[in-house]
Amino acid sequence: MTGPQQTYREALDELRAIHARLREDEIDIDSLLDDVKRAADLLAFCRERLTSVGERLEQVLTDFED
Amino acid sequence: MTSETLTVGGLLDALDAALSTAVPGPLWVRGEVSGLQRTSRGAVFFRLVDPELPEHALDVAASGRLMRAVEHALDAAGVGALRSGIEVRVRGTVGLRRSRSLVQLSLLEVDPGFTAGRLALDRDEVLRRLAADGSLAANGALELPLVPLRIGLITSRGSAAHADFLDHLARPGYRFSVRTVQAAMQGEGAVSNVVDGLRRLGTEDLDVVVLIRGGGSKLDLATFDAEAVGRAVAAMPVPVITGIGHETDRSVADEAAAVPVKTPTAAAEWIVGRVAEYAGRLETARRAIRDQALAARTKAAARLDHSASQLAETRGALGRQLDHLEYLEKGIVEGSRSGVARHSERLSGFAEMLGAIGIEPTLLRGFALVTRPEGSVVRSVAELKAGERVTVRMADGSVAMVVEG
Repeated sequence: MTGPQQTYREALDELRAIHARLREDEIDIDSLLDDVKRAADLLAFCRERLTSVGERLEQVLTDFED
Repeated sequence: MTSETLTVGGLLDALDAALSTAVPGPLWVRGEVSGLQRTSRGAVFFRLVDPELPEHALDVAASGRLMRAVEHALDAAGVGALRSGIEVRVRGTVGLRRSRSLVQLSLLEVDPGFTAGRLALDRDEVLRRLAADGSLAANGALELPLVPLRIGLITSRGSAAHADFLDHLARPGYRFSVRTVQAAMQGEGAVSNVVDGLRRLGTEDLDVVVLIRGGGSKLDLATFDAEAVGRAVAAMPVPVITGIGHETDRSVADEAAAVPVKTPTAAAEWIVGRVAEYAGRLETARRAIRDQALAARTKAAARLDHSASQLAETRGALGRQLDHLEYLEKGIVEGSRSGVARHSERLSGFAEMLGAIGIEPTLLRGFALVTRPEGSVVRSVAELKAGERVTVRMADGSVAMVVEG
């Protein structure tokens, strides 16, 4: 699962690896469910990161542009 | 032996006659003027001394009327007034001054060129001495003040020179302070006045000292040609500006001063010009600093704007990240679904293939496949009970049957 130490970059790299595995012709059915569940977690983590960074960025930019 | 007794007048007459015979007519004689005195009517008496034999002296007298012509001629030659200490070449008649029983020269004419030449020689000699010990260059070697605002002034108070100087100084509106010392500019005592004035101002905290004297073109310059004045100028701790109002030769004071100009007005203009030049440089520097500051501010503002727009671009980067996540999500969903689909397709393919290969040919060869109603294959007679319903599949179709014991 996404540990507290995981960064956006690490999560994204992992997500890309799963993506690449699932695009292969011969996907591994045994690990498929785990991969998809893991991908859902990672996506949620990355979205959350993007959202919070985006909100804080808007604050900073607003202060900066005033 | 009889001796003739003369009256005093008779003797003086005889002496006078003898004198006229011995020294007939007017003659030229030269010497140094000493002990000059003037009467209220302008008549002049002095002693003409032989410079090499100072104890040899001749009394000279001149009427007030004659003196006016003599002084005019001397003035025109730049010698100034007839005065003690100068060498003269004079023409006169020798006679007896009866009341004092003196031999006296009655002045008829003075040679101004002779005195002018002697004075020039004297001045040259003074200049040579001042140059020899470095005095002539001393004041000029001082650094000129950038902003000469504190001025020491040696002048004859209330003179036109004084007024002209102050007038020109006042015009531009700079804050000058002028410390004025009174000094006679010609005649007896002028040299010591000027020297004392210079020494006094030399002890004060000033930027420049100004020595001015106004008046016409040809005046008595003796004061300013005096060695003592030249040396006092050389000893000054600040630059001396001379404006002693003459057009032709420069005096010893001029030669010794850092800034010799021709008139008191020119002296004031020099000072004002110096201050104005500095003020101009200040203004130029002020503008340059202001312009540079403005340019730096504009540049910094542009840089900030650039940074701000770069920061704003991070919004775009975040958006792109989100797009990328969506792309990955879609790929994962599609990949997993299509991967599963591909597997199941393959499985059913296998099933078909197995079916195709396994049952049909066997049935054609005369075998039958017995299955239960739910579809499971019956592989042994032991599995069957009487009355059980089964399906029997053969090559050309299926038929339902009931087991009978």
